[in-house]
Amino acid sequence: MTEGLPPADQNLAVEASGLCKWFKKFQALRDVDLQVRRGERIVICGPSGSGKSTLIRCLNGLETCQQGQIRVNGRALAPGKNNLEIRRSIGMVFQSFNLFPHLSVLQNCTLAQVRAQKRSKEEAVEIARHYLARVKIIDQAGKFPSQLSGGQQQRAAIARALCMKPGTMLFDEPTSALDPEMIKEVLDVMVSLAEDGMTMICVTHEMGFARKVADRIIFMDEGRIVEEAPPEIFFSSPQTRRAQLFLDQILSSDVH
Amino acid sequence: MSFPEILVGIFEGFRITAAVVFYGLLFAVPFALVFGILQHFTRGILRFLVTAVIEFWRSSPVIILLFVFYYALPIFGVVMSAMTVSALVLGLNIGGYGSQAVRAALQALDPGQVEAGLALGLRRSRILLLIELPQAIAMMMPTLMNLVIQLVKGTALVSLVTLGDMTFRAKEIAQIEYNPVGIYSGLLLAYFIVCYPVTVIGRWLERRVGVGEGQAHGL
Amino acid sequence: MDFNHAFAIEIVPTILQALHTTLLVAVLSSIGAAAIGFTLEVTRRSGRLAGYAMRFVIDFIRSTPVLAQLYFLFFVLPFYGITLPAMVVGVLGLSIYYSGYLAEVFKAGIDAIHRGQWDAAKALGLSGFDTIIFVIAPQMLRNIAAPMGNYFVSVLKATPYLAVIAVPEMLGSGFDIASDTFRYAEPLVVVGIIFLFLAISIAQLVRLLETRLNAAHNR
Repeated sequence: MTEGLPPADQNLAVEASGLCKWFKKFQALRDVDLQVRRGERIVICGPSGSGKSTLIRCLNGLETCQQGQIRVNGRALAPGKNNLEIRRSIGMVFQSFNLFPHLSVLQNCTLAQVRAQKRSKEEAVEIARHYLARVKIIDQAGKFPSQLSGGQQQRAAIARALCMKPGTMLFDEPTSALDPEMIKEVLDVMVSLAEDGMTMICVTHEMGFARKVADRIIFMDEGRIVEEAPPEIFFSSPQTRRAQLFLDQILSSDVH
Repeated sequence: MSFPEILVGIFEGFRITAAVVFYGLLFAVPFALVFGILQHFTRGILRFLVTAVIEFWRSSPVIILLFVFYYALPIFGVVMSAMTVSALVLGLNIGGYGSQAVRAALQALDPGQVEAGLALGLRRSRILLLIELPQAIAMMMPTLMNLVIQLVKGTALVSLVTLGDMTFRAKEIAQIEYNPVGIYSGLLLAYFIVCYPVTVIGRWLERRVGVGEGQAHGL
Repeated sequence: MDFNHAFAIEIVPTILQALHTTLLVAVLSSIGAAAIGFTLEVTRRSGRLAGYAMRFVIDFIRSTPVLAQLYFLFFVLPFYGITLPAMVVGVLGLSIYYSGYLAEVFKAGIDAIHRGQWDAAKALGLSGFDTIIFVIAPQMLRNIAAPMGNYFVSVLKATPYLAVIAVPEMLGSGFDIASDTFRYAEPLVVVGIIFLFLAISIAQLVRLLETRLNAAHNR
């Protein structure tokens, strides 16, 4: 299943080639190629419905592509299979947090460690506490998600993903469901992750964040990658009219 | 006897099964409407009495009600045919569940409907008849289909009070020849043939009306 | 013959001796029904073909009377050389019958869980089994505590069916007294009253639990 991809390159965290994805008749991805080096920070942006969320959901197999190949850390993603090993090496943060409401914050962080990574309970708790401290909600560890603010919930979700010690983190519009005053606390955590050298692929409209941490901006429209450039070039001189239009719209309403 | 012969033999009891369902509905539908509406509109002691009657029919195991009415009522001087007892007991039991569906549907209606009716100068009884009930009944249809299935399945009990329904026929055939697999598969199949179409209609209605599982909990 | 009150009171202790069998059957059948129903529903979700097959199984179970299912198990199993104590057959029968209903309850409970929960579990690398047990099932139980409780009451009310396959539960013990004394009314009325009392008090308990649970959710 790896034809179409060059031989595995140890420096690449994620490689995708020729991805095509249809939902019924709607084509969400059209021949998308993507290569992400280890330690690289990518921001994917574009208008809604452009396929950016679908793309990153394909990268850890939450969605299956009808065409194309994906390789994570040199291992091919098998379509339709439960790619547990690959999923365990990629962390994912969702727009709607998706914390488990019946578990405390700490239990949210330990469940997959114990069940999927087969760590001991004690080790899992220790790791969880470490990452909860890192995202600055260690004092909320015993609470249930419903008792936390949106920003705290999203930071807990980030900690939960980090507990798996992933090589790569995927962020699917992590701040879109948050009130404005809570966006910063989540972005701060993401910036500090970037500074530590985490490989990150972020779908976000936070252009301030993109400018600050992204090595590369990928602009998508109608299921295609339309433009790909470092932020300083993308923001100052977008090459396509569609990217220009998008930037005009988003920057005129951007308060950050 | 071949399997088709067994099936035909069992279906000889269908007339009785259908009769119990039909007469049962004659008890169930009025009871459900009257008591559902009464429970919705009454307050205080009256409502308590209405609820008590409903709970009696709904909360007692139907098999025991059947035996009590069949064996015990004659002692109090009330003598009814097996068919009457069966229709009454099965009907009012289902009617008890139905009354809850009626009440729930009436409660779920937008109060604006009644207000609109009042504003148009309609009498309260007219509003109930012309505005509330038609909407409530449409809403209840999937639940009612479930209740009809419960009633059909409940009729299997009448074989225990000597009525010659499908179950009774199956047991008769079982006395003639030893073929439990054929006879009891045939019996299950016979009920499935009768009930499954109602299930399908019910599910179709459910999709159209968009209401969930009804109140019936199996007899 | 008159209704003999003294005799009715006299037989209460004898009938209550069978209460533990009734309760044991009800508890075991409820557990069995929940286990089978959950398995049916999880299997139904596991693939397209399995989905159609389980849908049919569930529909079949729901479209046939519990009495016919009990006869089937009771007479067909021995034909294949499987002889089980009547009580085991009874528990099995009630478990299977109510599993069809509980599967639907579980379906609604699982459907109500946000899709993101499955995504998150997948993204964390949890296996399908772990996802069901640790993520989905606990949230599902929270969604369906009330309807599930109601079905457990229904299971209790269905235990007297087992009298027809000679399980010594309360109705059976009532009939034993009846055939010894030739008095049917008193034992049946006594059994009926005990069941009504049980069913109503357990239903109240379920309601209480439901309010408690709701309060706990809205923490």
